[in-house]
Amino acid sequence: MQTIWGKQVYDSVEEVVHPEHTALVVVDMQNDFCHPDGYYGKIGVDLTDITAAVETMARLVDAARDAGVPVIWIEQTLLGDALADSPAWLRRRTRGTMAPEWTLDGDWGQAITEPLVRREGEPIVKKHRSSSFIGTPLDLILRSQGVESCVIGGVVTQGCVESTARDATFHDYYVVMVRDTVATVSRELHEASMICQSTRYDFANAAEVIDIWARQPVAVA
Amino acid sequence: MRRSATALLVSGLQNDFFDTKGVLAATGSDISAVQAIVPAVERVLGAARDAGCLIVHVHERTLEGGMSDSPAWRAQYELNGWQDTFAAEGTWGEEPLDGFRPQEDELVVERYRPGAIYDTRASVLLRSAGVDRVVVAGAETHRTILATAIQAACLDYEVVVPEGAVASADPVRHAAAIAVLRSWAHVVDVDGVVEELARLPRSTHEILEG
Repeated sequence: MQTIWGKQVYDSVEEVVHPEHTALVVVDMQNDFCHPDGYYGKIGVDLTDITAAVETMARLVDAARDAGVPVIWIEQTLLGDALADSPAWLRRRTRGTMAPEWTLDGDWGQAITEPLVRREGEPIVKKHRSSSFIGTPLDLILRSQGVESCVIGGVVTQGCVESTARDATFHDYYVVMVRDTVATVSRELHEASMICQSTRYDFANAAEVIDIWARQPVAVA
Repeated sequence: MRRSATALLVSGLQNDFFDTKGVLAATGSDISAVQAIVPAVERVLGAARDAGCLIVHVHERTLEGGMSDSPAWRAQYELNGWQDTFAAEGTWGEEPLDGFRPQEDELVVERYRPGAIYDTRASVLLRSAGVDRVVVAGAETHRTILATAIQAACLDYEVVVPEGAVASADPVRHAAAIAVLRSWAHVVDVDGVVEELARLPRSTHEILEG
């Protein structure tokens, strides 16, 4: 703990991610972004980094459950008839090569990708924009658990992960970005985004967080 | 380019609030005043559908394992003497009342507190549809209707409340809430709302298609 301007502020990563006040936020690890038969796979995105990030996330999720850290699943969600799309958002979504037909609500492409499997009782938060905080109950769910810190990973780095992590800081959560659970469609974009984000919050590898959580199991009441 | 559109928010038309076997009735409340608004809500819903309004079914939900319950929120249960959890996820009590199942092109917004706007996806969806006016119906007046009206008004939506299509089990609280609502919303009788919906220039769907 450190004192800054008279306020008690968590100091070490160990303090920040203590299981008693931390949640794991898994961003958009869905078939359309991660599975070879999903949207990205079909348009020829190299899924090597994304696949590795999913596998590492599976280990982090297990460690979170063992430590009593709530796991929250964020799902990008498209509604039919553009019901969740404003004109401005449609223009943004259809730029370049991005076509808007992914993660249609209820479709296979929208589902969490294996080997990640949601357990009963773990909240699913559907979102219609990049940030997991815009138009969702995520903040409500976090504050209902007394959460102070978000451990964040998922896809894609410069999109929904970066938007979510920044918004988490603006909603007054400590953020730890788990480097090896984050990936995107190109290594160049990934590095660029990580450089920009590295000035804003803590970074750790999954192994470090898993180790911290294993040493500090939450007391079961 | 920007055109106005109206959405109908139907809040709380769920078994736990409207069925005698639901949680509201189990608190000992006489829910006959709540049940009595069903035909009026159906009328407003029918008129809004005919006018092509965006229809949003707002459903209260309590997540499993206390995931949506803060200590402060749980304290409200004590304050109100509630024993059972309202609209627990996956239960019969959470399901829509007969006659209020969402149709294909209609939206469902889950809320975890009385207000339908904050901490929900309502505003993203309303903005996506170009909505700038909401009609709010359902129960209870002093909880979800009042909270939703104030949140919507503060986010710059024009708010209309059809008086006969909102109710609280307790008539004193209903009357008090209506008095407060008059400072936030156009409180209009159901006939007036139905007539106005019939006069609407045109619908959300035409705006999206046009």
